[in-house]
Amino acid sequence: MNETPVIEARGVGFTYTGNWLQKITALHDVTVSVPTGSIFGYLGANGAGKSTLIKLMMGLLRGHSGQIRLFGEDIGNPKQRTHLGYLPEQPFFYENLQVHEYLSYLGHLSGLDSATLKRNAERVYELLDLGDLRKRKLGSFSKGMRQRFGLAQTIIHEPKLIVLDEPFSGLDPLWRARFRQIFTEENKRGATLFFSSHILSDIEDLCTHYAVIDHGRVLEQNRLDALFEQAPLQLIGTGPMPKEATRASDNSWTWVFNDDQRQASLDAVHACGGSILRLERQKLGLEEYFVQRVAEHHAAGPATKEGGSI
Amino acid sequence: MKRRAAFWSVVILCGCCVLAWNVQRFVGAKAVYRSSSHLDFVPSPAMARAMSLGHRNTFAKLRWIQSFSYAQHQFEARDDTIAGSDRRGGFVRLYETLLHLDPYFEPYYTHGTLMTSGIVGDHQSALYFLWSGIHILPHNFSIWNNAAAHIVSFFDYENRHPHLMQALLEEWVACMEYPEQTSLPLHWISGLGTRKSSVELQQARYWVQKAHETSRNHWQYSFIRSRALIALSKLGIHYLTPLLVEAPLVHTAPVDFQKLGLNRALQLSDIQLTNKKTIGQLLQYGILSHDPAIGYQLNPDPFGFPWLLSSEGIISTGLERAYFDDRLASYSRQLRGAIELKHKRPQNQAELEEWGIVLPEPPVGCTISIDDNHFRAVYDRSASFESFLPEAQ
Amino acid sequence: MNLSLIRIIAGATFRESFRSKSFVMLLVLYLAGTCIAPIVGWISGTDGSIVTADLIFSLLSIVGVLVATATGTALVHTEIKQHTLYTVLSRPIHRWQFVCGKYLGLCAALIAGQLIMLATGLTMMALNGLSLHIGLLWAGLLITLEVCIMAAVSLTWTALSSPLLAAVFSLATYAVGHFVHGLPGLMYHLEGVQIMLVAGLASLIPDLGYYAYRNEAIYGMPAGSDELIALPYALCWITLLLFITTSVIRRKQL
Repeated sequence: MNETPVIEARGVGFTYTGNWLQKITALHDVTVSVPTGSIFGYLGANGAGKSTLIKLMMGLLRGHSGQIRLFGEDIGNPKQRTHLGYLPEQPFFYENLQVHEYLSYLGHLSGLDSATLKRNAERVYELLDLGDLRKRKLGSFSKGMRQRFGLAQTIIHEPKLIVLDEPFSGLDPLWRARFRQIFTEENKRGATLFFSSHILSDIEDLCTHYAVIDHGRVLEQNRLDALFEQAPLQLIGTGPMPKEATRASDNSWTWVFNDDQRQASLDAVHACGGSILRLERQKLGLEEYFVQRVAEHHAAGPATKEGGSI
Repeated sequence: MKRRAAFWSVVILCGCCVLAWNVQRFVGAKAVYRSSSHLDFVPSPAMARAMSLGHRNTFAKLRWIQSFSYAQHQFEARDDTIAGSDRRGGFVRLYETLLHLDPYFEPYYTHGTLMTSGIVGDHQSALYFLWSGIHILPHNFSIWNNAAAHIVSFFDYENRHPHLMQALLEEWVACMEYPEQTSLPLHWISGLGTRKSSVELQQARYWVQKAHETSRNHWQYSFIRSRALIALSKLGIHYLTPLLVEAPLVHTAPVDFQKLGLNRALQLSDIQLTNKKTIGQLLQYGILSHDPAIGYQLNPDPFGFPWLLSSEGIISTGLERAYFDDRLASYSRQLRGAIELKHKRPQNQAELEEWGIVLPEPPVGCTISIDDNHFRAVYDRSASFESFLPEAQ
Repeated sequence: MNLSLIRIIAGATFRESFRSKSFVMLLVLYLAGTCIAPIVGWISGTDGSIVTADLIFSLLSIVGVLVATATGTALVHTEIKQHTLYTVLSRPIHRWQFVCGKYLGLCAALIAGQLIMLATGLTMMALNGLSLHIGLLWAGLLITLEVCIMAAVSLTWTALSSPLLAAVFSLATYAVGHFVHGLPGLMYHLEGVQIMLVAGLASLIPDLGYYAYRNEAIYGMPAGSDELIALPYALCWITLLLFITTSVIRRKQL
């Protein structure tokens, strides 16, 4: 995995001008680094500022402070977007264009020649089961079908960076699974994926990296496996149990402790005469962690929560 | 399924009812002439031009069509000042605006003349419109023809300013694009000063041609037809008078030609018909007819009534009656005003006179009745003479 | 400058606009109006050909402007409101290319619509006895130019305001644009500063009176100097309006 970040945001701040010139700060000093080849989960509650950063990267919003770099270059040059695929949240498309016309339109805009476009189009038709729909007008599409087409237009030009804003929105379970599979395949092809989502269970198995944003501030970013390494140990035993352990329904008991208490805990079990059945790392859900982390941030007080009302 | 069938049956039934109702309104319906005493909103030419938002022609034509009901009213009312914001009449203001907006539309000039001169007797304004038309559309035969006839009819240029008349006719010839358009003015020039029939002939030609060009359903047709009949009657009087002066007939009181047997064969030998062109005109316009077996025959006047001969010359009884109809129109206006005031209709002649409406003596064979709230003159129609007009064809 | 991107955007916009319901419905409205126009001609009591032709040309202009306004105001607004432009602007294109492509595509659709309407209108005129000549085509071309200016006006107003207001402002611009052509004739009672003020304000509006040659063309009158400057005048206004629209869209937070 190349260590040069494909997306690099440093100290990015952004303030919207709302109605009657009201100023709304959406991002505060956001610093994010997305390694090339990673699948990056950008997690945040509704209104946390996820889409704002994405729109800044896409050039849809202007006037930020700080620095945003794509593929190692400052944003601003449209040519950077040649290798970029973007699936907006709840995408809409021209109602009167047919699927193949729209794909052709966006493919050509991304610089594909007709032969490559034809080949790639067949690939995405197959991937997203759109082959029979290629002559259908997009105005007749359901929400889920639009999402499928949205992904098709995102990957039609085989981009190096795929930015997905709430990609699972409006999909049934079968298509969620299919999308996850496609994302994995795209990642294997060499694409870096950058997700924003607030439904963490969908991306938990997928991401290699994550960042948590709340009220326009990045609270934390890391590798996902590093997060799992932070989870406490769990010792399951039978017989006499230490007083900190919890009795299970059967004859066994469970004792949860941190890594630094490992030796002391094992000694305590031996001392009380208990038998160890197994010692394992407790499974930490991304969602639980996210909720816990955001709650801590909220508890820290209003000084840290200036923005985010978007 | 039954509910669905019932639903569609109701929908179809409603549709049929609506269609049937709409269709029955047209079945056997008679055209109703719209008559309006108001000429609503005639902006100044510059304002109308600005307001038309580039659709000058359409604006003008829709305004023109809307004014027809006012024109219809004026056929009877003949008081155009009511719609004028100043001493000028409504027609003058209307046509000034229309001509400013849409100066190349020929009917405005002819209709403007018709309305201002023919209806309300404003011959000066009519001449102004025709003169403007000649400037804007110098190659238009109809406007030149109208202008020449108008100048002759109402300004007597043939007698008062023959040299100016000749200059006008020569200009007309010069402006025509096709040779066939020059024959009329050239013919006119050749007979200028010697052939007094020009005025009547021009008028008759113009109105008969107009009657042929106008659809019988058109709102102006009855007016144009009446003008044609008047012009033909005048033409008949003009031509018959010199013919009959030569006839061995002297009468001191009006006499019915038919009773005198004059409409039997009018043999060339009986009356000295020396001018074959004149006979040709009389034949063309149906004053005379020709039967090889009998020879020339005098037809009834263009209205279908007899010609009369008085000590002052020839009288077209139809023309006299048309003039009487015109006079009666003003009495009808008085009658309507009185009925509105008194909220009742007069029962007899005496009551009418009490109201201050004293009717003129009707022509022979005419009875006056009150139809709805206007006077109607009913005539004996003993003969028909309309075969050359389009209505009877 | 990559013009092929503009062509691609224009192509998609053309298809999208030409297939939109409002576009098709307004074309149908025009066709219905064209069929009814001869009736007004009959009512006029003339031979009807001129009256019919006048109405058809007026319809051509009015429906064209309505289509330009309806489609033009909806075009950018729908893109922003429904986020359809996200998938476009996230491609390697500049916003000015997007605006120009959109405008050209819209114009192509409007021109195609105008050509259909003009062909139908001329056929109807011929059926009603009007002798066709090249001046009528020239008049139709000028109406099309007027419609293209109105499309640019609609785009500009949409960039500056909401679609409803943009539609109102666009139609007001059309009305004022024609009004200013006759304005010099109404200024006889003004003087000094008033004239300068009125003339100054009027100069800020495209003078659409240059595109009303139809009023003369119907009578076979030759085109005058006004009609000759109509094309460069339209191109100048369109360029200016697109520049304003692009400047606004470039700064717009999407």
